[in-house]
Amino acid sequence: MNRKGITKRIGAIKFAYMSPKEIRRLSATKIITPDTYDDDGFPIEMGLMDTHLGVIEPGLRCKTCGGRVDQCSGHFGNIELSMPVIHVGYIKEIKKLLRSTCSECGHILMSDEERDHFIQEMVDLDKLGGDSLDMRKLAKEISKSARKNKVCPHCKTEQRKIMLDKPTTFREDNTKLTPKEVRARLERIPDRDLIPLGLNPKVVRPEWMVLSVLLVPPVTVRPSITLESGDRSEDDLTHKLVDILRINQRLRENRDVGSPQLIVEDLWDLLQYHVNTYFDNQTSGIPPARHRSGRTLKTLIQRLKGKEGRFRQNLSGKRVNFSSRSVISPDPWLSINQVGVPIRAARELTVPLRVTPENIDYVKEMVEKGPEPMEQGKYVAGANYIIRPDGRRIRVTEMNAETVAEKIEVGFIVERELKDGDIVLFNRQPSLHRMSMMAHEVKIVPGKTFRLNLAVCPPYNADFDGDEMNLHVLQSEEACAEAKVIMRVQENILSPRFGGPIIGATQDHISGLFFLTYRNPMFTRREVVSIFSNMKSENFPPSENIDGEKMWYGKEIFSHFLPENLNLEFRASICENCDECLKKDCEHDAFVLIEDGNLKTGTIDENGIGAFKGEVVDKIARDMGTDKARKFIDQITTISLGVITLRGFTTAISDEDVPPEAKQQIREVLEKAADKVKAYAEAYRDGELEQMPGRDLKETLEVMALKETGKSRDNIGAIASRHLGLGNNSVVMAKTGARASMLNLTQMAGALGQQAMRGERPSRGYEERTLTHFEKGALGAEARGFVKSSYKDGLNPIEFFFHSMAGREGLVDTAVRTSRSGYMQRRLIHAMEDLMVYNDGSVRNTGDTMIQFEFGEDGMDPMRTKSGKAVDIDDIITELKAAKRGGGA
Amino acid sequence: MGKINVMKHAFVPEHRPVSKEDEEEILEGMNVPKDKLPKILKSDPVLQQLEGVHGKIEEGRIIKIVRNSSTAGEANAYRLVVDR
Repeated sequence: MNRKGITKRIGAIKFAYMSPKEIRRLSATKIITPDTYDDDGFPIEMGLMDTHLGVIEPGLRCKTCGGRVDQCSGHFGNIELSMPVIHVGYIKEIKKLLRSTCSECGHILMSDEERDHFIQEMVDLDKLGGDSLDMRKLAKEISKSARKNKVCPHCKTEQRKIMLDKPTTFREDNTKLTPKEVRARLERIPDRDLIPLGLNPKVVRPEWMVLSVLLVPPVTVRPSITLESGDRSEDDLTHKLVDILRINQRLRENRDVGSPQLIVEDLWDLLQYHVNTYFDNQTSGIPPARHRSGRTLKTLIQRLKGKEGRFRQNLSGKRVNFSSRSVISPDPWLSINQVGVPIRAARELTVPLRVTPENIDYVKEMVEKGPEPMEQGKYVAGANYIIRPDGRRIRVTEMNAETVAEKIEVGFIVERELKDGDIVLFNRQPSLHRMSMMAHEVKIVPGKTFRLNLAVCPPYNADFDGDEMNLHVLQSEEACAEAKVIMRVQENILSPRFGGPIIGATQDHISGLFFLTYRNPMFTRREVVSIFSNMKSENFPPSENIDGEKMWYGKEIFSHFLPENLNLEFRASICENCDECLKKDCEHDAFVLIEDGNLKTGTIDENGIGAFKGEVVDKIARDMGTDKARKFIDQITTISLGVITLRGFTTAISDEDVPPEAKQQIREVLEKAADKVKAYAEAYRDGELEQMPGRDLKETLEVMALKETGKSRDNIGAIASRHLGLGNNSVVMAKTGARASMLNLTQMAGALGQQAMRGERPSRGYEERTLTHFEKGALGAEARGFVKSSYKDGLNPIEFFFHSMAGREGLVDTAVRTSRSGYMQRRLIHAMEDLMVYNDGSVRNTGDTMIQFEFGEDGMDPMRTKSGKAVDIDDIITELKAAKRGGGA
Repeated sequence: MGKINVMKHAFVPEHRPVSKEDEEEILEGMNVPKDKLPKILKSDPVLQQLEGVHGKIEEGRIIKIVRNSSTAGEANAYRLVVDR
């Protein structure tokens, strides 16, 4: 499988160490003085800021290439170290080499025949297509087998044990090896012996791993910044290099005058420390070098490594232009495809417009209006910049608008401000799935926040408690077209995550449709006009004549927005799960039957139009196309708001009021549960508890207690439910799935019930008891977190404590879960980023290696499945019924 | 303890060597060169079991695996025998 467009392929990449010779050749100047600038603020010759290394101040010219600030990218310099120093980055390699070669003659610790045998093995591995990782592994094995020989087979010298004192000190049987000695040993290793140790002698000599010359990066890599006060502040790297230079100079002086060995060695170690921290300031075993303020210095490794390092921060991801970020707020009158962009943002964000003979007049007219045109108090798109074919950008201002407009010719590019209908990408972090970034159409709005329709909150997982979102303006027609086809909100109504609609109504939208359809209420003309008042344009559904007055049925109003050939059967969220389903004769009006686009029976609630569950949305999107589905969602949510606005909707704690008899019943249930647990605890203590299979006695007690308290909670729920009917707004929300659940209501009206941590009753805190309010060894319900009060009544201090424990566990769990799943997802993405499904249904990576022979083994697109199932039998049956009736799709 | 026949374990799907004559047809059908197939080690316990039945299986042969799949009922996969 050949891919188009690739004209060149990287054949190989070779890595090698830099030789001192190469460093000196690369160097533009030698650095000898630790000073940077003289009193006049000019760089000192042969200092760290020498202009041979490039320039960072405007006006100066580079002495090496003659370039100015923006022309010269800088040149390397070098420091001649007075004594050699080990490079920390190669410490493991040096250790390996020292251990597997002779300390005297430098030969690898094996016979020549053995060595040649290993070399042959390496050649074979290379022929078989072994990559560098395989090679490294083999080299490691060879070195391991060499190390086994305690006596050199060549010169018969007995080998002593070489230890590494972190980070860079070698000891041989407790005598220290100086870097000089280390280098001498590495120098002795013959070229041919390097091959089995994994080094290529054609490009590398091991003694280069001990530094005698240090490469100094150009000043452009470590620019100094001038503060407002005129003081200069140097880069961390420069600071470190200054340290190295100072010690280097002192070491040289002391060595030259013949100071005592001890002093020279101390300075040598200090130089080693500074060079170590210059490369890596986080090596274990040495204290990190610090700034005067106590801040640790950011040296070479720290610049590259980790989340804030060069790779992840600047190379894998970048800051972009043509984007903006703001707080979001809801706007139910927008289409789900739209996004409200405030004028302030729209004036700043631009789309490039290429001037052609066809549009030149239009463009000129637009530019003439300047950068901030308004017409009759309304926003009009202007132009911010024009770009000439030679690449020069001219800013359009109020002043020069007319003159600039006149200069425009075919071939110019004009950067036009955003206007209604532009395609933009809208995104909310964390971007966990592809629906986290969708394409919207721009609608310019007043204010300062981005607006979005409430039905698109679920895919973004957005709410309006201060959430911010990002917006990116597409810069080419191709990009716009592509985004419109595959990224537009309406194309993402169905989610590949679970094979159902992820976009749909939530909260009040669901309550509203419940009131519209539950038990088919009637509406007067006044009411219908009110309900329809927010529709852009719509005919009224047919009316009934009752008592000489025109009346409309709720279900007919709903049906009015359904496609004509829609047939559907499902159970609503308010379904009570009766033992025998009466289907369309359901006494709860919970069996939804739609025939030829008419809602015959049933209530529309979460299972009808809700996000994640909406059967109606699902069916329309699947069978009739995303266009119809979008239109349906837009219209039905608007109608829903009309209904709920007309009716009014409120909730209060009094919604959870239950009559005193019920309260009494609940109390009895709770007492009974507590008594039972007490009885179990006593039986346990007396050794009379019957052990459950697979559990010990204590576990049996806990299981029984949890079962008992659980049962009591269910009973309380049942008692409360008897007194809380669908005439109650809180119950409406819970039953329809708009918000909250019956359990929440039970906890407000009845009691909280058993508090649990890790699925068990609380058991720790004090010696053999949870709190000092109980006797030691107390195992009763109250002593182990059974809360008999309700939220409404309020908890006593002991109950409150147990409730806090369980509540804290919940918080900690979510915090831990998000960070852990985040990292897991990062690893998954990296593992699968180069996989692709080919036209034949197979999954292969960029190396064309087969990963899956058929995507998901069945080749199904999960987005087009029904909850993961390829065939929806129920739907087929419904459609067949419809066909028999003489209708249907 | 006697030697266990891993192929009799419920978790191990059916493995079968593909005859050399069929190899080309299979590869052709999937439009994939032989070396781009997933690999199975010659030292794999299943392969050693198979060698007992089918005689020696050299490097470069293809093994067909028929798995029970939760999505497709039954799914076929192929693996190339490699040494090391």
